[in-house]
Amino acid sequence: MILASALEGLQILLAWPNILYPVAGTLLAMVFSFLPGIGGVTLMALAVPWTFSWDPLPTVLLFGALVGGGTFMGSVTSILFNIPGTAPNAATMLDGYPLAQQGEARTAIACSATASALGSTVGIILLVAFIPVIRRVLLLFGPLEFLLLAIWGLATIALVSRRAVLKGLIAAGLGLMVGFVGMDPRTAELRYALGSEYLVDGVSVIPVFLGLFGLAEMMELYVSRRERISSQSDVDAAAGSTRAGVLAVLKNPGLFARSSVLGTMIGMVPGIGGTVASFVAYGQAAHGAKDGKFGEGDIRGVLAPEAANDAKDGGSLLPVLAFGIPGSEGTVLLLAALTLHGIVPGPELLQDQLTLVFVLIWSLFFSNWLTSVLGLATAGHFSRLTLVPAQIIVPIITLLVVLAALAYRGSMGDLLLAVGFGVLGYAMKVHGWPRVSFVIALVLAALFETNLHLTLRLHELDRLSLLDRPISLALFALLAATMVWPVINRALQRRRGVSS
Amino acid sequence: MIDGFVAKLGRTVRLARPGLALAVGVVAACDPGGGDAAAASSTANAACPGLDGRTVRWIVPYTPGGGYDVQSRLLEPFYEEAIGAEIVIEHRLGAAGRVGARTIRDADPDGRTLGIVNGSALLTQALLGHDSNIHPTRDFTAIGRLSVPSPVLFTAWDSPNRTLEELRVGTADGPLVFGIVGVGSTAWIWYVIASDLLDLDATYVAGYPGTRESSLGLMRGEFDLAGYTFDSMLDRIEPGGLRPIAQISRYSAQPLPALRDVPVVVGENGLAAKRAKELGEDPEPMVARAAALARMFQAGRMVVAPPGLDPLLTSCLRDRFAQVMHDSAFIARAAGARRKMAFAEASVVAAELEAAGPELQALGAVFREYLTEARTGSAGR
Repeated sequence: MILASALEGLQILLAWPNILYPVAGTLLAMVFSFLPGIGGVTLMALAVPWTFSWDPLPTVLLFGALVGGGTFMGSVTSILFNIPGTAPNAATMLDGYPLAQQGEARTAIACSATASALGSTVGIILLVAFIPVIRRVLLLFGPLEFLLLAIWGLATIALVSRRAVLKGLIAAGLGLMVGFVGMDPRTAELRYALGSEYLVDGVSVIPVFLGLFGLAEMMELYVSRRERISSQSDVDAAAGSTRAGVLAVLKNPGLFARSSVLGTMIGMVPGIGGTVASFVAYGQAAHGAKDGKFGEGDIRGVLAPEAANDAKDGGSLLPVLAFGIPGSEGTVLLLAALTLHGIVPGPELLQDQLTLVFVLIWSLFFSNWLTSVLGLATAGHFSRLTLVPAQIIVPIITLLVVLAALAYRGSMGDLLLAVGFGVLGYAMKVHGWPRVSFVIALVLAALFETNLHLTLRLHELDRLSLLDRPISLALFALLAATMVWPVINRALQRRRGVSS
Repeated sequence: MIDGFVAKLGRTVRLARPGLALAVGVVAACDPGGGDAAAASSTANAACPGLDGRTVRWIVPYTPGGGYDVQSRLLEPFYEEAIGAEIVIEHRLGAAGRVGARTIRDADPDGRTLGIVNGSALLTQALLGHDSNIHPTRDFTAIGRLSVPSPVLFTAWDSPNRTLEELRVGTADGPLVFGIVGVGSTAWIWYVIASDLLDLDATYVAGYPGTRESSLGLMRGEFDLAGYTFDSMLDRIEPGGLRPIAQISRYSAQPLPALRDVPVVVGENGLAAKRAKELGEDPEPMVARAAALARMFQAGRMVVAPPGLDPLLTSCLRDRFAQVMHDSAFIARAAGARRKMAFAEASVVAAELEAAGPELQALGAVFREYLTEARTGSAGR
């Protein structure tokens, strides 16, 4: 039955004029996601009323493409200008931009495109595989699992701030503090809100990313009087290699598979979203690399978050289809569009309208691949933007960042926040304080805090046992191994050194 | 002034982003619905005074894609047809809906700003003593009520305890555990109400990111029960999912088989009165308090405009709203999206709330007591 529905869904997608919807949706999502701070989610919010009078089928085709089409393009601005197109692309900046500075923008974009296409494919395969047991799988993940994932992500801070451990830890502490701004969910008391209503709901990561990386980088480019973003001046030398980018993914199958599975898994978890998925994937890549220069331009630092970010699209459809619970920002709008057309997710949908479900899945798959193919085809052109003279690129990007901060929620507070973090980011960069540690802590703060409290409380009430939760046990073992292995490895190496 | 400019810029950028024209061109070229307008109302009216062809901001105080957004979008094409203006939905998020509510309240009373507010939540926040209190009928020009929540207590379907009484007995060696999003949230209010009216020995686990996520916690067996709106959990009432065990209302929320034998809390034969009798207490105060609570929920989701709106315009907006709410095309559309509407005239809601005033104040004292316990750590953490 699943195979027949899948084939029928594919036929419907490819039939004329149905195919126009995913093509149009993908192209639109690409354009919107290329505009920093705006992103495909905004486009989806705009698309909900357009589709109001449509039939359900084209709506599903369009929204599948809008969910999938925006994920990759946000990485291009992350790599080229250190500005994430969308929040989940922020982890890609950490190594993507250093690569662009080293003249490897094309390689990084090609790697991102390849990892995105293949990652989304893994996510979709897992989605289809889980359909028969969708509810049971989702219930395997609870607060303890999320807490262990958050700790795993936070442990990355030690790796990415190897050259300035103390500064890295202080920056991470600051990141956690900023992440804790707002209302305490347990007591409804305000923390660090400084009497401002703007801060009641906490600090939004988009203005922070725009300032800490985008504005700070433009300040640094201007003050340092460098001629351009890339250190290379020759067009060919600065182009990098599309082939090298594609091969980077194929040469790291283990890392790619781990990142994609992680992305799918985190995507399945409602309320966490792609930003955490890409940062946790970045973290596991850093943990797994013995020779890496993470944060300084390691191609695996682009591969891992992009594979995870696109794989999460498939994962995030699982809770939507099973329970009508959106797993990511994009699927919230997808759910709204479906509901407005009388398509109510849940077991009935999976039973009675499985073909329509597959139309959605194929549309997502199609758009993920279309963006990546277009990304590969245009990687060379995009990479040349890093050769544009600084006196031209600095004002343009600065203006773009200001507009993005304002357009994000139409709030003056967001702009002020971006400017404040721009100054902080510049100071951190100049004085060698790792910004990466700060943002990893900021992104994971809520996940860590919420699930720490939930886990402790559930344990206190005797409602949680580690031994009953196989996924937790596996994550715990992995976490312990990650922490202990470097110590054992160092001891072994020392012993070998002594004996030789 | 700057804020106004920023808001306008944000709106403009959002509405006129590059690609939008392309989108409309490409996508509308093959408009599968023929642009018919399921939306088009069956009624034709002259525009409301001063709104003909104008743009009206419709403020939604919660996130895109949520219940408030979906209901607003369902209403939008019908209401804009009825009032003769173009409605543009704008999300003003923050402070549990207060930012959006304040945006409407502080706008110019020219009919160009309307929106939807969470009436019962605003009342709750006022009762909790939070600052910036905004009353859903006194501080706005109320247009009418769109819908009301149907709060229901659920337990896990697979739980051996299938009624409140069985739960009480089954967990006799410890408190009943509720799952909630946060202290002060709607789910927390339901925990307070259930504990107070039904004299439950209860505590809670707080911190679930949203009600839907907490429903997964309930299915995983992390806590015993939780309150959700019935409509939001419709697809989960089945084996392996959730089981409704009490309705926090005077009458059954919906005539569905799933609620057939589920007792109500409010009323003379409700669970609150029965519990008081079991304890040998006078049931009257409990009945009155439960009734005040039911009235508070009746504030529901209110459509409002800024205070001081011209009476002629107010009357037109109210009439047209009532017209849409009775429009069969709108009702069918809402039913298709599984959104239950519950229209009431603004004056009716206001009168209900005023009548419940003293009892609501008493309820407020209970809320504040529980809030203090939460903050001093003597209640669930």
